[in-house]
Parts: sequence; C-alpha cells; structure tokens
Amino acid sequence: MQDNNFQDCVKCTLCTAYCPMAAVNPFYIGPKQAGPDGERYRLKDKAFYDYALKYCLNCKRCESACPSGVRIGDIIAKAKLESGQFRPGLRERILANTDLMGSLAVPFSPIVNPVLKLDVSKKLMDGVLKIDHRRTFPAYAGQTFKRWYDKHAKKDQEAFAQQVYYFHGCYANYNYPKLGQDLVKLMNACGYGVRLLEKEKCCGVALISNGMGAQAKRQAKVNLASIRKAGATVLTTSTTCTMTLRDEYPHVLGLDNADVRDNICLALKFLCEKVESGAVRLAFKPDYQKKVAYHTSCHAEKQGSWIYSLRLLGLIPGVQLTVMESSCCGISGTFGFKKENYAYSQGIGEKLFNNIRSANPDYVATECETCKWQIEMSTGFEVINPICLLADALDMEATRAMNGVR
Amino acid sequence: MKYDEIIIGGGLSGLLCAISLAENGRQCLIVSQGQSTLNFSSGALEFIRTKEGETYEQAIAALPSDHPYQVIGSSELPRLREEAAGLLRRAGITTFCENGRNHWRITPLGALKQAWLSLGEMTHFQKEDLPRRVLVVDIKGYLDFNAAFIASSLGEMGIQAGICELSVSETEKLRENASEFRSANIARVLDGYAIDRLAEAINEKAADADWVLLPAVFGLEKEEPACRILRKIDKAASLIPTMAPSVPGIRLQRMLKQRFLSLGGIFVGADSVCGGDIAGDRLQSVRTVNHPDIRFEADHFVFACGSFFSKGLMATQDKVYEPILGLDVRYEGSHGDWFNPDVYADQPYMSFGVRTDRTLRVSREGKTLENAYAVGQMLSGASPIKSGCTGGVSALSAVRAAELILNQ
Repeated sequence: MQDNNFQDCVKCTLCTAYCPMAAVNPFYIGPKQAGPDGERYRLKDKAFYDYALKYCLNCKRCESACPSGVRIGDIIAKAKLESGQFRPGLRERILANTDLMGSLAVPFSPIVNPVLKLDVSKKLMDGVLKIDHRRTFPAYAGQTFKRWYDKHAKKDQEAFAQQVYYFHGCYANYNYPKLGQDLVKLMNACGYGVRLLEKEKCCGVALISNGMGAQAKRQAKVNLASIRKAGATVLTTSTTCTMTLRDEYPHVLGLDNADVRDNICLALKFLCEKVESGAVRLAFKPDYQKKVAYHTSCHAEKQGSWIYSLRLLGLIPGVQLTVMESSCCGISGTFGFKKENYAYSQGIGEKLFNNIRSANPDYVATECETCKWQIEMSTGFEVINPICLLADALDMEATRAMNGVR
Repeated sequence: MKYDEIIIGGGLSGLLCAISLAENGRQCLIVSQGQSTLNFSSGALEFIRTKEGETYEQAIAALPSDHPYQVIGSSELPRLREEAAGLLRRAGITTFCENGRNHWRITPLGALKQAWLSLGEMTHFQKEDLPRRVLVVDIKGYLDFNAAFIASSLGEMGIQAGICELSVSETEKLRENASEFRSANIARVLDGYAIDRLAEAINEKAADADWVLLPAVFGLEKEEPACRILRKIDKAASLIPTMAPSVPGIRLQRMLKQRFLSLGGIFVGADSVCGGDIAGDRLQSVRTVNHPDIRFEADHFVFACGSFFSKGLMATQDKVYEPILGLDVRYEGSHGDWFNPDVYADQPYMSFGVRTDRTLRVSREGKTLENAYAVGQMLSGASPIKSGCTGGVSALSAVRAAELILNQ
C-alpha cells in the first residue's frame, strides 16, 4: 500500500472546482488529475503528468475541499520532489535559499534594499533570472531578529517562571524583526519568557516547492533535533512554517515528528487558549481604534488556525473587524516571483484584492508573510500579523500588572 | 471555546439549521469535513414523490412510522416547507415552488422527476404545459451532459425535440485541456460576452423551437450568468443539471455559506469532529482533528453529518455505526441483507441511520442526549430514492431542529 491515501479519491473533481490555479489557468489539469489520478500512473512511471506539477501552488485548498480526506496537495508535492524533472536552476536556488540570501543581505541592507528597488535591477533580474520585474522584493532588515534578541532580550528571559521557545522563521529574522520583537514583548507581558532554539534553519517550504528535497530534509532534521532538545512548547508566528514543521515534514519529507508535533504551536493559538482559560489576561489601550480586514491565508484555512486570530482580534474593543471571503492571494511563496507565473499569481489574487479595496481597512491582518508582500504590492494596504496588531493595541503596562509580571 | 450552537456538517441541512439559528441571533459554529454533497445537487429539492392525483398529505400518510416526516409530525410539514423556502430566499437564492404540489424537472440523463422546489433557472413545469417543440443545446466536446438522451426521452412523450451542438471561442480554447472539460471549468470561461455570443448562436438555431434547454454550466459564483443566458435567448429557456460537479450546487453551497457568514456565523471548512465529552445526559463539548486539545463547547449540538458518502454513517462487514460518538443507529440484519441485488430496487441500507426521538434528539446506549440533535441524510427511516424525499428531509429536519432549539 502507498504511504499516501490516493486510493480514497472518488473522482468527484471538487478539488479542481475549488483550485485557485485551475480557475485562472484553464490548461492546468487540476489537482485531481495531477494528484490522486496521476499517482496511479506514476506507480508505473514517475514521469506521468510531470509537466503539470509546476502549477501547483501547494495552497492545499484542494485538501480543504475534498469530501474524502485525500491529501491531494501532499501527493503533488511528493511527486514533484520525486519526479527528478525539477532540477533547480540559479533562480530557484536564490529564491528558495532564504537563510543564505538573508544572511548575505542583512549586513548590506542599506545597499541591497535600494538596489532591489531600482528599475535596472528589476530588469536585470527579469532578463537574467526570469524573476518578474513587476514584483516588489520584501526589504531586508538592518539587523536580524536573532541579533536583536541576543543583544536586547535574551538576558531578561530567565526571570520568567514560565518559558516557551520561539521558531521565528526567515521572515521575522531577516525581513521583519518587529514581528519577533512584538512576540517577545507580548509573551513577556503575559508572563512567559521566550527562548530561541539551539539551531534554527529555514523550515524548508520553499526548498520543497523548488525541487530541493535533499536540502529540505537536512534542514528539517536540524529543526526537529532542536525542537526535541527544547522539549517544550515551540511557538511560531507564520502559518506556513507551522504547517511545514507539523505536517509537511511527515507527509512530504517522510520525517517522523509525532513525538514533537503537538509542541509546535502557532503563538496565536497558544495565547487564545491561555486567554480563554483565564490563565492570561489582556488589557487594551482605551483609545485604540482600527478598521481591520482579516485575510484567511491558505495554510490558515487548511489548519483551521484563523479561528484563534478572529477570537483574539475580537477582544480588542476598538477594532472593527471584517472577515474577507477566504481565498488565495496568488503568490504562494516563491511561485509568484517567477516571470512565467506573474499573471496567474495576480489573476488568482484579484478577487481578494477587490474585497480588500471595498473593505477599505486601516490594516489587513494575516499570519502569512508572503500574503503580506502580495497584498501590500497589489493593493497598497498595509498588512500586519495579528501578533503585531495585538502588541499595538495592548496596554503593555496594564497587561504586565494583570499577569503579575514586574 | 464556547458557542451557542455547534453544527457538525456544512451541507444543506447543516447550513439551513445554522442560518435559521443565526437569524435569531445565535452564535453558531459549523465544522465541515471538506465540501458537501450539495456540490453535486440537481438544483432541485424533492419533498415527497406523489402519484397521479395524490396530495402531499396522502403520500406522507403512506410513509413508514419511523420516516423523519412521521417523526417530526405531518402537521408540522407545511409550515417547515414555507420556512425552508424562506431561508433560501433570504440568502438571495431565486427559487420556484408551487403551493402544496410537485412540479417536474428533467435529469441529466433525460428522465422526468418530481420536485418540490427548484432553483429559478432550472426546468420546472407541469407535464400538461410542456411545449411541443424543444431544442436541446449541448456544448461541443462536453461529455457530462447527454442531449441525445434528453431529446429521446422527450420524444417518447410525443415532443418534437431537436439537438444542436454549439461552441464559442472560449469553450473551444478550453478543450485544449486534455482532461478537464467539466461543468465548473466551462462555467468559469463563460462570462458576459461569451454568454451573449452563445445566446446569439442559439437564437439562430432555435427559430422553430418553443423551448430551449441547456446544460447548467452558468453562474458558478452568482446567479447573474445563468439569468443572463436565459434572458438573452429569444425563446423560453431553462437549464438542466449536468453530471457532477454541479454548477448550481456549488453556487447554492456558496450562497448559503455567505449568508451564514453575513449573520456572524463561524464556518470551519477543513476539519472534522472526532469526539466529544458527555456528562450525564448532555453533550458538553466536541473535539476536532485540527484542534485536538480544544474543547468546543455549546448549549446545543446538531449532527448534520450526512450519510455514508459524507461519513456521517460508516459501515464494516458486521455493523453500521455513527463514527463521532457512536450514537444509536438503526440497521437490520447482517451484511447480506443490507443490499438488494437489483441496483434499481429500494436498497435497505439507504434507510439505515441515526435514531432520534420525536424532537430529533439523538441517543447513545439507549439514553437520550438532551441537547444533541440529528438532521438530514444521517437520520434513519427515510429511503430517499424510493420515496423521493432527499432534499425535503434535509431541509425540513434542519429547520425543525433549529425551531426546537429556539423554543427551549
């Protein structure tokens, strides 16, 4: 028997009816054919449906739609890794090696950021690397989150009676340290010290989608070893990292994480549970007023984690919350950066962009960093992780006092 | 996490029950295990099949005493029908139904079946009003709709039925996709202009026809494209459902979900309930696969989990069971007795399902759970294909459960 459940497919094609890529690309054969149907043929020859696999966004909306619980997205992701046809080129290596690129770029961010914005650089990347010139690269930070943490936060953490670990991911580390900083401030105010893992590598989601399975596996092993060593709750702030660590490691990379899977937890879920059980109390600024549009990222939809964000954001008295119809923004990590995918990417997101425009919010809230890039670039509205929104809205002094933190 | 009501299942019965509760100010959570069978809907709901000259009341009276309609009480049914139709209307869904009698509709294979309520764009007629000259339009290359079957079936009734196969550049282009020339894909490319051109082509062919019939491949997200094609055709025109997936069904699912969300409902669409905590005669909370450590608490719970396909009921070689809580299920005999070898005959397993009391409350090990209800296709006693009551059982039991919860 196969280690996936393709045989549970009843051929109803609802996955294809709900696939965002099939909606804008009529020539994509769709998740049913690329996934469980193709899998039967691939038992004979790995090359079947090779040409179609590159269109999969790994958004998992097919899995969310499937009435029979078939892990369609996992089947496609695995087939892609195993087909041998997706030899990563220079572009794929640059886009997928977020750790390497981040480490190289952060020290030179005052130069790198403006250069990435130049028309001439965009044209060059478009011409040479086939990274679309219309795409905006996320800016690199002047200092990584890890460096900030070591300098400014580490020494204070031991004082807290309760401790959690934090898997910050590449985005918080290299591009947006404020997210990690806000998490530390927030957890500290709630009475938790935040530690970092002994070693943290990129979760590997981009490596998986760009055909670099062996490297993804190496990094996953490092992360799992650190998570095992921590032996405690490991919080995350990105829905995609969370899904990769919890579900893609066993389902796509074949790495058993059953002993630590439950330790890996989206910080919003952790906080929501603590607040609802009364273990943690939050005090909000009385004058905080924001109109917020919540966007359910694909991986939040798949994991059902949006429910925690909505409950927490619903606690903020001054937040007027509108929930956007759950739909894919189209970027899918590195997918939307590739020149040949740009039009599909923007086509998929169009419905969401229009919904956001008509909601006309102060902020769009979502837990996915690549959704943030896509929505900011495509609509001009500022996108914020609910963690940052909570940190903004909280009266930190009062919250600390309520949770007995000195 | 506490809600007023938790509804397990996001298909027709789950959504109607939840919408009904939410319209009355209740905070409801729906947990749905993927998409529901509503996505395969014919675009029509049956209430009960009636013989020539028979009234609804007479047909109901002939049902076995454990049929959900009998359990609910036949005197309640007219009011529940009105209420269910109202729920659909308030969700912005255009429907057709006649007071107290069935109309007819045409199936994808050309059979004529009765319906209580149809989506506005679908065929709905009384046999005596059928036009004499019909044109059945097919989309070139589309395999999930059989115009020849439909024409021949109409022909047997003495109707002159012609066929024509048409295409527009958008559908021709779509055919380059080697495998997926399906209803939903076609509906996506048939936008305003394509529809206008298709209507023009139809009008050229339909000069002699009184009625034009087309496959239901219009309007995946909203009704407008379906209304548009019918409006642009010079003759009377209606849509016939296609083989799955169903475009009107997907739209129905979407519009009902939107209605629920607009009333402040929470719809968890990619998760399944895997257990619950019972204390005494009350269900306290349920757990889900995605949130195993969270207790989802509510005052009332509604099981709207569907039948075997939707895994609301499951079977092994020796038993039929309800997988979430092991609720009491009615089934008879051993495995060999569950099936009739004649596939067209009434199948005994179809009437298997969860037992309830007269207020639709479920039981476990013979003990009624005071705050847990079952609705829809998981109920025992209905033999939907034999009685022609599928949609009606789903819709009416859902509305009834909501009413009972609200009256408490």
